[in-house]
Order: sequence, then structure tokens, then C-alpha cells
Amino acid sequence: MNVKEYILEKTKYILLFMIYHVFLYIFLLAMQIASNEIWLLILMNTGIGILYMIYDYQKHKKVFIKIDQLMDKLQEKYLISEVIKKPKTQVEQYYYELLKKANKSMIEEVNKVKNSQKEYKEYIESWIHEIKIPITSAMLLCENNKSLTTRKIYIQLEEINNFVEQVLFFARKENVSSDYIIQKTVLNRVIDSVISRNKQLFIQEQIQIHTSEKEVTAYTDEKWLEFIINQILMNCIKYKNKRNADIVIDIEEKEKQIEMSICDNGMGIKESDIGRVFEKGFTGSNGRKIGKKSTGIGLYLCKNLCEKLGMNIQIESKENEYTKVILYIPKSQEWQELQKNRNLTKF
Amino acid sequence: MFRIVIIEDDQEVREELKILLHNAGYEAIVIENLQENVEEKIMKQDPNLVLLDINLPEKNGYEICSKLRKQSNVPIIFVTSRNNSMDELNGLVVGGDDYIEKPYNVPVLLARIAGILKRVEKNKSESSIIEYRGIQLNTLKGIVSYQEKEIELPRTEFKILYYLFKNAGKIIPRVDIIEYMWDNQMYVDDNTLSVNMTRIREKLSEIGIYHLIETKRGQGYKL
Repeated sequence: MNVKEYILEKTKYILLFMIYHVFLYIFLLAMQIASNEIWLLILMNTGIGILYMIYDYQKHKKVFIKIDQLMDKLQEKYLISEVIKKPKTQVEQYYYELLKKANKSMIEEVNKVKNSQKEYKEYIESWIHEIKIPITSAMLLCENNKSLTTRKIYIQLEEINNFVEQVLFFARKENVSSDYIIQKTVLNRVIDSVISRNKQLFIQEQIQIHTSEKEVTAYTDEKWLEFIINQILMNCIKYKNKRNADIVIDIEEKEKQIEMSICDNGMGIKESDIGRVFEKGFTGSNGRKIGKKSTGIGLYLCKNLCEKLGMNIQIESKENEYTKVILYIPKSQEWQELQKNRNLTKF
Repeated sequence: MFRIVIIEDDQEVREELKILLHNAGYEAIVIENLQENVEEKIMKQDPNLVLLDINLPEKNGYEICSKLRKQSNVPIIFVTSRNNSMDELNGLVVGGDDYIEKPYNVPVLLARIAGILKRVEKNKSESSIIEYRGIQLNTLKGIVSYQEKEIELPRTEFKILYYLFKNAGKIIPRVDIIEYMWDNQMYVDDNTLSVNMTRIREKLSEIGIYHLIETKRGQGYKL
């Protein structure tokens, strides 16, 4: 609220005041009172009126500033009606009660949604545990009866498993605090585990992989990182070039963090698309090109999970030449906390 | 032979797991009835290792594990479809030795089992020298020796030869070798394998070993 708005709001009172004084002037003149004296009276009245308005303006302004400050300090903004002072005037009280009622029903609604979301998440998690049992037994069946056909089935099972994982992490991404443990992790081991998990796919697709031998550790959650790397590698396979596909995974130690880059020589990403690859549901021209359905979820999830783990993810590419995804992983626990908080406050 | 007890409620999984472990050279015992006294049933088998599922119908694997720990130091590996880090931590807190997710990567599962058994049963550990037709592989040094002569092989070539020795007498498909290499973090493809095979043969002939590795066209290799 500023002075102009205040005066605009009070216009009708000011007009009323002026009309009243015009009539008063005529009336007093008719009573044969000297014009000078009448002007003095009007001047006095105007002075009192202005003083009152200044006082009233200041009072309102103070109240507004106070509410604004309260609002700023409050994390859950919708609880404002619980913390402001109960007002004195009737209209204000009426609005105050209204706000309280509205908030109450909103909070109930929010809780309902939260609960149903939690229920849904729990259902998804338990469903995933269930579905993994038949996947496991099918994989064991393939392993125990190796043949050309079972190898192919195995690859399909690996793909099913990847999709199932994606669902799991999607369900988990919202309230994550209970689902991960940050600890010192040997990055090479995580990479090897992802590659080994999908080896049949890599071998069948004839993809060369080069990894660095030097052992590097960082602070992160092993399972989450595994999922993220898996998503990236799946993209490398999906968007590979027909011949001599290869993937280079490099780990570089910087002062505060580790840079892990995964670079392929695949079809690359168009310059116009690259800014949007982390958006949910974005598939771009590559998604349409390869014929397979792409979901636009993989990289979105990666970005989302990275932020929660205090990591950063970047992507560089040149069309028809290469795509390089770089993960920045914290080297110390303190740095991890710092990055995480920074990432979370971005929203 | 090491005895491994499998505690798993899904019948299909445990049957296949039994076959798998059997093929890998272990004696696998499945406990069918998981209703009561599971711990006693396990101990009665006097196992060298226990594979324990977490989600069981009556009680969960954590409970069984902590009860087993009270009476025995038998190595326990949790195998489960629960896969968040908290579960893993719980597993280790109650005394598990390792934790493997379903669906498991079979070579990883076998490697972990072998690793734990090797650590626990030190005195029975397998020898670092494998012999076949008078040719010796020293797995610690990466050296092949034959009639007083010896030659050192690079890591990749040695691993290939090692795998052939392990499966001596059988026809080994190329893809099996490639998969084995990938499980050992050496990401070779079909061409690289051929190159490596040629090099191995050359090097073996240097110390007087000829025609050790037969090529079976369209099938693979045979020692």
C-alpha cells in the first residue's frame, strides 16, 4: 500500500468532506457570518481531517508491514491465519474468520492428498518388490538354461528391470530423506556394477566401453548413483550410431568435487533441443527419430535425484558427433550438505 | 564341498537358485517350510553360508538373522527385492555379511558367495595354481609355466586363459568368454577377443605349447 492507493481508496470520504463543506459554507453565509470566519473554520476542519488521515495511513501501513514480515518468516505460508493477531474492526474480523475457515478446509484437503500420495507410493514400492520376484526367477531360469533364445530373453528382462527401477525412483523422488544414505562410495565400483548388470545388452549391441582404472571415492548414495548412471548409459545405447559405438567413462578429481563424464559417439542432440532435455516429458527430435518410444522421464529423473543428493548434472553435445553427460559429485560430506541445501532452495 | 542354505519363500526362485548354486559347485539346501523354528532348521544343516530373503511370510529375515547370530557366526547374505540403502544398513546392523538385490546379477552373486567363503574358510581356500596337461597357471602372478619355461601374460589375456582352464574339456562359446570378461571389468568385444586369442596362442608357442586351444567353428573354443 502506498500513499496514492490510500488516497484513491478514501476518495469518496474526501468528496463527501468537500460537498459537506460547500453546503456548510452556503448555510453559514446565509446565516450572515463573515466569509473570513467560515474559511478559518473550513481550514481547521481540513487540517484535522488531514492529520487523521496521516495517522490512519501510518497505522494501516504498520499492520501491513508486520503481516508481511510474519509471512516472510513463515515456511508454510498457508498457516498465516494462525499467526496474525485477531483484528479489531468488524469487517476485518469477518475476513479473518473467513480466512481461517478457508485455510482449515485447505489443510484438510492437502492432508488428504498427502495421505493418498503416501499410500500410492507405498503401493508402488510393494508392487515393485512383488514384480521383482518373477523377474528374478525368470532371470535365473535364463541363466540356468543358457541358449541363444534365453540370452535374448535375458536382455528383455534387463530392460523390464530398468523400467521397473525407473518407476521406483520416480515414486521415491518426492520425499527422499528416508530413502538414502550418503556415504563414502567407490565410484568405479558403481560404474562396474551398472555395466555388469547390463552386459548382455552392451555385448549384443556391440558397444565398446572404456573406463578409467584409477580408484576414486566421493560422498553419495550408491543405489541412487547407480540408477542415475544406468539411465545415462541406457540413453547412450538408445541413441547410438549404427557403427563403432563406444562409450568413454572418465573420472576426474577436482578441488571440491569429482567430475564423472560419460561420453558417447552417438547421434547427439540438436542445439535447439539441448536446453530442454532435463524437462519432464521432453522427447525432442531424437526421441521421434529412433522409432522406439522415448518417455522423456529418464533425464528429468536424473536431474531431480542429483539435486537431492547435492550433485549437479550437465549435458554437452554436438549433433551427429557426441553426447557428454557430466556428473559433479561432492568429495566431502560438508560439501555435499552445502550443495544439497543450495539445490533445494532453488525451488 | 561348501553347503549353502537358501531361505526364500518364492518356490520358483529357490528352485532355480538351487540349480544355479549346484552348477557352480556348491551343495544347496532349500528349507521348504518356513512356518516355525527356521533358525533351528538352518543350524541343523550345519551350513557354510546362508542366503536369506528379507520378506518372508511369517517373520522377516532381519529377525531370523539376529537370532542366528546369537548362536552362530555362519556367514549370512541377504538377498532381497527391497533396495533402499536403509534396508541394506538394517541388514548389516543385525549381523548380515553382505546384501544383494533382486533381481541379482548372477556372476556378482556367485562372486560374493565365493569371496565370503574364501574369507571365512581360509584354510580350505583354493590353490592359486591351476594345472592342465602339465601346464600351470599361477593366478597370483599371472604367469603360465610349462616344462621349466614360463611367460607372463597381460591381465586380459591371462583372464581369458584362466576361464578356458576353468572349463577345460568343454566347448566354450565365444559369448560366454566375453560375458565372463565383462564381469571382471574388462570390456572386450568380439574382435578384441579374436585378437587376444591370436596373441595367447603366439605367446604359448614361445614356451613350447602348441595346439592347446582348439577352435570349434561356429561354436567356440575348446581346451
